[in-house]
Amino acid sequence: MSFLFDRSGLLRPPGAADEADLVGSCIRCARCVEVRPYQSIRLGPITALRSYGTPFIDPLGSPCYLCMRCPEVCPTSALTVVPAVESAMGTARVIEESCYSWTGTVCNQCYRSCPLKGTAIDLDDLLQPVVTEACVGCGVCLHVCPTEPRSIHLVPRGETS
Amino acid sequence: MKWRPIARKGAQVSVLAMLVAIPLLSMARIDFIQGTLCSFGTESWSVSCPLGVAQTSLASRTLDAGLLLSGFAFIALAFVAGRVFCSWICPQGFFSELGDKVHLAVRRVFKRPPPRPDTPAQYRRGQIFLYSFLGAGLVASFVFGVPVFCYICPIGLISRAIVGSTYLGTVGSELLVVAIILFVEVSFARRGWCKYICPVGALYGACTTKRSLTVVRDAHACVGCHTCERECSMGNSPVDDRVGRTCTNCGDCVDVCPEAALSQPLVQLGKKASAGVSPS
Repeated sequence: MSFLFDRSGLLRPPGAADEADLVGSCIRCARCVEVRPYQSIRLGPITALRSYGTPFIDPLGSPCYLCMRCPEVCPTSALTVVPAVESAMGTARVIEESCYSWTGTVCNQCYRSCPLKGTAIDLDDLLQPVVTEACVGCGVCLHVCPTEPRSIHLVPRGETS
Repeated sequence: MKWRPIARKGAQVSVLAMLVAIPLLSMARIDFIQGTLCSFGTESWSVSCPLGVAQTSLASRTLDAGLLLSGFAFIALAFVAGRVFCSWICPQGFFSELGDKVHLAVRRVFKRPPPRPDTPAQYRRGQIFLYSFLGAGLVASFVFGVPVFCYICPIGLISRAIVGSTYLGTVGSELLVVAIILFVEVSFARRGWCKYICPVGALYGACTTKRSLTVVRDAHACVGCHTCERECSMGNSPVDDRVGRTCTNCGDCVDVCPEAALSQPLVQLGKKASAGVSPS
């Protein structure tokens, strides 16, 4: 999961403010952690420096299933209530060189698990998964991808590459 | 045994128990209430740390009515009863009070004289540092865009360490800060954090008025034995009518007074604070 910390970019929960606003407005109360039914949200460790105590998601451990409960209990403007399709956590990208479906073995785990199935990940004519603009970066595809390392690259919002 | 020390320890332990119970309940999928002392509540109401509210408002440069309202509960408590948060709720206060008992025991073991109360000049210097630190931190929060105190506040650190260790399976490495505070307080600076540094306590202290709950001395009953000022770990001196903004209304001086000359009159409305007992 080292790529999650590249450029100090953490995958933030749905409805999160932009990085600079989030570290400023988060009161570090851990309510988003305690409300989630999927144990997806973790707190930044002290090694995360200014992100200490702020929420992030490690999709390899548990991705976001878009239940959208965490923004409802956030007392600050760090997380705001948004529709699931606008949660804008990041964007997934299929690594076609190692993806089973792209290299000749039909798999499509990512397509079948995607909470926004058919909009965020679609299948092309050869049943190869294609991520669209509608992807919110929940990380479920990354979580279920059977290849090692995963054939999904997840870029948190505000990060490049 | 007096009722107050028992009630107070009970309250402090209950707060710690709640901090443990909420994540455990959440683990059992009972999550209608969430939170720590930084902010807790349900989906329909919140009570937040007023210092956290101030810092995050400054850091994010936004004002949110709901957030400001959620910080008001503890402010109102301070207006009515001073730093009562420190003596009844604060987990660091609980550990610091235990640490103070150890501090006194260490003094006895090493045959050191009992601690002396602060002189008015010492007390004033401590207060100046305390409020300068609070002000500097609020300015720094605005300048750097992060709630700076939240990184060192033992209340939040303890809260998050409990959430982390009961629920997320992380080690509470943030408790190192608490350990350092306790070490310093036990070894030389009696209640040093609470008296000279704690910005949360400072904020509550700043909210006290002449009408807030405080310790009042009955000059006719007092025999001037100075037992109360030796008991006070926050540097106040009820016997000299010097009870300032550091008073947490813990009531230890009231309970220890052999002549029952000290009291905390609940209703100070309309009563002019008698000479000397006003927060200074």
